[in-house]
Amino acid sequence: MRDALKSYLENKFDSNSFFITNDLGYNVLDKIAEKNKKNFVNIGICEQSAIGFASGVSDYFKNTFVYSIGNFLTIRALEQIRNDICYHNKNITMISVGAGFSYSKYGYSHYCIEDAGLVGSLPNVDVFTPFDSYTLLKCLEHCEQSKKPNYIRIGNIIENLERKVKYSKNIFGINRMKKNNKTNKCVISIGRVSGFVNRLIENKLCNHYILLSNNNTKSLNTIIKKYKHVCIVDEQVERLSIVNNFHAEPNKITKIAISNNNSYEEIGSNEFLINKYMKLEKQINNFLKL
Amino acid sequence: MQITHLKNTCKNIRENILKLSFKAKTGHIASNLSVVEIVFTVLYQKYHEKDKIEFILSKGHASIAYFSCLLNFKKITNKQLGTIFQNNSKFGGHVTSNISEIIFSTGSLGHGLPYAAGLSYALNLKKSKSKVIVVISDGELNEGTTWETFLIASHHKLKNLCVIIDNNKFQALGRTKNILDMGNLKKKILSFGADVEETDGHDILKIKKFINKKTSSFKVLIAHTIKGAGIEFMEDKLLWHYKSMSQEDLDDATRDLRTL
Repeated sequence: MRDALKSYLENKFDSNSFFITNDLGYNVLDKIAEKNKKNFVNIGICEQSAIGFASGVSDYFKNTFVYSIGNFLTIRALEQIRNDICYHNKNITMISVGAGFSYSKYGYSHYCIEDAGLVGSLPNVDVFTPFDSYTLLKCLEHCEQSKKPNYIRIGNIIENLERKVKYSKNIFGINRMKKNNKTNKCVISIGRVSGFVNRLIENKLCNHYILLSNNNTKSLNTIIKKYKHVCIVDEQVERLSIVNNFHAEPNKITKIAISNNNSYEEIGSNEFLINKYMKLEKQINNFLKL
Repeated sequence: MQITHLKNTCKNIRENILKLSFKAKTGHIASNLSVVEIVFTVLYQKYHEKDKIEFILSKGHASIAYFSCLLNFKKITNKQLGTIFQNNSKFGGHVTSNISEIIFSTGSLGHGLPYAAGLSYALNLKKSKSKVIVVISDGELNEGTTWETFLIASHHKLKNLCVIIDNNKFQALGRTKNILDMGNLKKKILSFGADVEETDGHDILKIKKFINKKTSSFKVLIAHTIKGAGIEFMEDKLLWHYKSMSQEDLDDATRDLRTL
């Protein structure tokens, strides 16, 4: 996905755009930095000031971007995001890397497992977790036109689903894998964790839908109505996850998110952490038995 | 315009601050009183002298001083301001940008300066002649974003950025020097590459001179002010950061009101 971001910026970045990085983006941002010496700023490692600075810059630029690792950008600077971007409804796209457990072997300081929920709870902002290069481009194009705050979370691609997925035309729409009309079960996954989900259910009698937006309850409800058993998978801590929006029909909906009761001290592969802290494989298998 | 007239205008603004604070039954009175000449002078340059100025009051808890100055320059009306602290009013205890002429909401300390730096950077790129003036409190010097932004302003040579510190020597729980001593503040800020001056923060002409001073880097005015300035029994007293006025307090304060 970083290549897609790099390519998008190299093609679309112009004098109406402004890019602020918090000293990150090696081998991704080099070319636009080189080409745009004035409207590209490596502001240093100061996320809170970077958000305030972006708010000021955005008064004079059509598209302003701020870039960092997800938890640094959002959790450290949450009040600045709330006051200086969201309440002011500024046209700023925040782009983060490391969604979910992407930095799996680098420890909890780098896990982005609360950011979507925290930012998504703020007004005026939409949160997107693309699951491949195509959906990332769709997100970037959407943000370019939206004239409001947006937050895009980029993570490692677990499995490239590009040839298997039927993409929605709308960024807020429903992407789906091969559909089987004989099943009364479906899994709805958000963003990059969809690659794991697909591995577990690809050949099973269960449909799979993928959403990009972490605050897209409308599309979720549309799907939920059509099935007897629904499983929702979100790589965010449970208390802040979209799964928490569904309290009705507990026998119908299986919710899989990251357990809150951990200090996430163990590291491991992406798959290891997702199974350790979300019990993904175990819970999906139980769901398939329903 | 005669300096005496300007000083009298500031006295009237203080009187209005007292009336509004009494009506609102709010504290922060002394913080509003310390910043009067600073905000007035900046807005005088903007509205009377027609200087191109983008103004941000980062110490948002001095909203009543800001509103009273805007009223003085006829940018808001008495009728609008009459709603202060009432249900559904836009005029509250901190600065909110949904009011005409206010470009940025503040209240959380340490937010105004980074925004101002971004604005300065963008205006430089757009070849604008506008100055960006941000007023911060000395309490805001506790915030990391203040010092981060000094680094940013210096590195990016934001010479259109003017920072005025309302140095009233108090923060929420006491004297700044007892809570987080800044030591030699001028020396500290100078080390960030700023053009720094210290002055009497109630001296309109000195503030005006500093605003108009051309510099090769961003500039910082350490404006020494008196918390509660203009009303003797409120001056240099932490109590008036919190206390709201009784009718008797208001009568005493109005009677004691002096020209600085």
